[in-house]
Amino acid sequence: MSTPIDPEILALYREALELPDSRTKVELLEQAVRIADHQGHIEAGYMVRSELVEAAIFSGYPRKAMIHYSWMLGQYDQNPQAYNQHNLLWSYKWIFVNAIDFPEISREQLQELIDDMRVRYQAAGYSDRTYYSNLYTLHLYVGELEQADDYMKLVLQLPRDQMSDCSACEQDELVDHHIILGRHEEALQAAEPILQGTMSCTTVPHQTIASLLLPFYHLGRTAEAEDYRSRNYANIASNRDYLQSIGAHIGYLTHTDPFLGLDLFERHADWLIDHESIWEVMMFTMYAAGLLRRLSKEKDVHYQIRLPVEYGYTGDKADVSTLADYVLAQALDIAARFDKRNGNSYYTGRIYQYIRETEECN
Amino acid sequence: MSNQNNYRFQVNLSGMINILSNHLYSNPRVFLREVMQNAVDAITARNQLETDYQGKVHIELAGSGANSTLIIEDNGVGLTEEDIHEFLAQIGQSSKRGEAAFTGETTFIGRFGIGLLSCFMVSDEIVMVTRSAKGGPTLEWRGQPDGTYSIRTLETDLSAGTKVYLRCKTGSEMYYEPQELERGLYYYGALLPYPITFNDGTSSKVINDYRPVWIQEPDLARSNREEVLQYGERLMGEQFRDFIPLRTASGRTGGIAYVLPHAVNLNAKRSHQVYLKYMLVSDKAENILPDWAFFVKCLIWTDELQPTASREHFYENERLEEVRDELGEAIRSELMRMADYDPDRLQHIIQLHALSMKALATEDAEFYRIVHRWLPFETTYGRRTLGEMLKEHDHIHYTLTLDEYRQITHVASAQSLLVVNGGYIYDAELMALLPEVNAQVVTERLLPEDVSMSFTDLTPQERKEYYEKTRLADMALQRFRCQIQLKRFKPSELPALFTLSKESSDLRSLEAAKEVSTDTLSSILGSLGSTMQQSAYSTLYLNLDNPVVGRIFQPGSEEMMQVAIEMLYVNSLMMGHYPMNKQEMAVLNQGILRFIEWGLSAGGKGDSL
Repeated sequence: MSTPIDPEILALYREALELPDSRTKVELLEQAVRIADHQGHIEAGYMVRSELVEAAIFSGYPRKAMIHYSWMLGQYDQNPQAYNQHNLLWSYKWIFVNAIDFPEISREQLQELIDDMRVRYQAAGYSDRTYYSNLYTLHLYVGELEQADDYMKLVLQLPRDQMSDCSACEQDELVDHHIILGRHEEALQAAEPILQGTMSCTTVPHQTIASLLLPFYHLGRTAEAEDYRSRNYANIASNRDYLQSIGAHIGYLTHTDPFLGLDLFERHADWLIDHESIWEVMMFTMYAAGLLRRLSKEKDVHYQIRLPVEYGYTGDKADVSTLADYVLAQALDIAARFDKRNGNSYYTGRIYQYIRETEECN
Repeated sequence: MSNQNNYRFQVNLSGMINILSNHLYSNPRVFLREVMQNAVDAITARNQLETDYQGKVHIELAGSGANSTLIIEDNGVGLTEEDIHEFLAQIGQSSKRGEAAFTGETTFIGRFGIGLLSCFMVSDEIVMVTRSAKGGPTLEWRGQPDGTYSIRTLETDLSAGTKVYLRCKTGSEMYYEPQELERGLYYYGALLPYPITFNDGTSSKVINDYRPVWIQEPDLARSNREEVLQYGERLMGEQFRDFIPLRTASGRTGGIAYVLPHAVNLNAKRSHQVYLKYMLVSDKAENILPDWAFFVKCLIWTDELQPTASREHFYENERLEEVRDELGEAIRSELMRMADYDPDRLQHIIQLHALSMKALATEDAEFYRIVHRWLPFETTYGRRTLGEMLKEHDHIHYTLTLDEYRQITHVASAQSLLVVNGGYIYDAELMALLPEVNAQVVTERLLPEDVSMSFTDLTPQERKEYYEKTRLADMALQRFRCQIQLKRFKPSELPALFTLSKESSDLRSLEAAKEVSTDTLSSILGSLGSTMQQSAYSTLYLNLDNPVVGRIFQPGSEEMMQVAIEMLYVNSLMMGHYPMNKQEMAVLNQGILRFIEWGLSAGGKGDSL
């Protein structure tokens, strides 16, 4: 089946490829997919979707990525000779990691996904390293930190293969791991090659630096954090994929410049309305709640918080402490959904702990 | 362990050269840059010893083709025997003294002690004759690509300086072509402040014969417009029509930002030509201007940045960040000045480079305020600048996505409703920001269903008249999570307008994917879909002004009602290229058969519709 591809599809496809990862790029590709599907042109649909999945992942649309990846995998199974297996299996990793961000996806379903990936990787001749790495990620994000620690050690002992994340990403994962476990010194040590610029990729050092701002602060190394902060913000400010990282900026600014933090909260609040990753929303909201509680302690400031109508806060825009309660409740609401899925109270606990620690510092 | 033996790594020099040529340097041509670099550094060093000294570099080509020899001569500081052992024999040793060489600032450009080795890419032997300005004998150094070298003292007494002899290696003839050499010398050395002469075997000429005044004082470029444009063409091979002078506050970095004469896309490689101490180090430096400034191609000279090992980029450090910000500011403030004194020129730039301007405007409210009138957008009135829109409207609607715009554009134009397509990169953000920079305007995001606000409602009488039929129509589409609204709207040729929420659109793709995917992922999609249901809805607006719709709602058409509504629905899906699920496909197929049947039986009775 190699009927020529419709020129309109190709035009949209080419236009999209000229754009950086963004909502526009995702949309142009979606439009091309729609035409391809409409014409029943499976090859064209597959070609456009490979770009769409990647663009969606890196522009902050994980649900769209999962939808279109599922279609690709289904088509691949029906006609494996027609498509590039390596690329398909590579993208599977993104799908798995992002699936954890949806509380409506059960633990059993996540486990099935990991197992399915493992079988496919083995059949293609890749090692089990990625399988263990996935188990590590799963345990880390459902809050089973001891198991995560064990899997991390195991992964680091196994030789890398073609399916392993790039070394910058792996280093970033290690840094993150230390941060989540509260090991700030180790995190900064592990981050050294990333901060030096010897390790980098699409998302590194951007997300790494954002995550390091608070550890820098807690270790009293604010001057270094300041060196990175504004450039880092410029690098992530227009990409929804970095919602959590922008939250981390707010977390840091809560201590050093809360009114700039407020500016960031207002500027990015509209992302919360329809962001596809509820996990990112939860993390951002947690940092925002900490900030607003801090601001509510300011005396003699007449607030007039700017928030989009769709955000759903109907209370007094001048009353920051009511808003802080509202925002905290939002974060806890989402946390409860994750905890239910994960079968523990990790995220609720983590949010309370964050709020407590933030208040102890002030 | 008491018996400790120390050994040394053996480095295979020919292997190293291979690595250099294949990986570090982008092509063998750079040998010319490296020998010139050495000459320039030698002259700089001598300048520090003797202030009233005038440097010069002379290049001579002897023989031709495979018998070519190239001689590069400078009257710089020269080398003593000790210098030779130190600098030429140790790779990784900084070429030109001082501990600061590897880290902070250095007076010299070459920093890695490997420059001369790049000559092995085009010559099997490097011969260097040198005499130090500090005195001592004239020395001859011969280096071989296997890493061995010899030094001997020459009887003759040369004046201070260095001569490097390169003999053409088989296969490298092209690098010894006179035109090629002349071009290369100009390319790397056009801005050098002392003469570079080249003798191609028949005649001698000064390569950098002309050095513009505005190299020292970029602001003077404004009064030398033609010359600046010609110079740009000569150095970068493109015909420019406009430029912006650049200068940092310290004066240590300056340049000319040439406005590209054609539109460029966001992902286009930014390649600027950068001179370090007036010697070209890179013609594809990307990181020296802010990201938004992709509408210019720059000539930049600096003495304050550190090139990376490949010399093709600069180290991302604080210095670079400051320089980048200052150069960005120079461009930005020139654009702002144009808005006041030369708006035609600014408009011309915006017409070609709207994307670049919008990129800056999203980051910089002040800039946005100044230029917003000229920024173009796609609207239901065609392509319009904000200024044109603001003449007639103080309330502007925009869609957030391309799909939403596509859903309503036809109807909105027919209603003379001004809607901006916010789906293109930066546009929705700019629309949302607009009231902050122009207090006279209100902007509002338009959802597809909002277009119906401008539709004509039914009269109470009509509402009563069509009540039952409307209910019937609504029931027909309930299983598709689609509701019916009966209205009157333009254009009357349009029987229906179909709008759907973003979630609804995603849910359609999800259901289509679920039908073809694997069990594991289908089950996951099922879970994802369950939470999308409540926000996924669509609306089919039926146009009573349309003759066909009018007839559907006439008495006596009850029998056809359900099928007709279903067909209008699937037709809308097809027009919008929305994927149809199995149920909808079935509706389409059955509907077509029903209509054929009706058509045939009506035709049989001789009663045409």
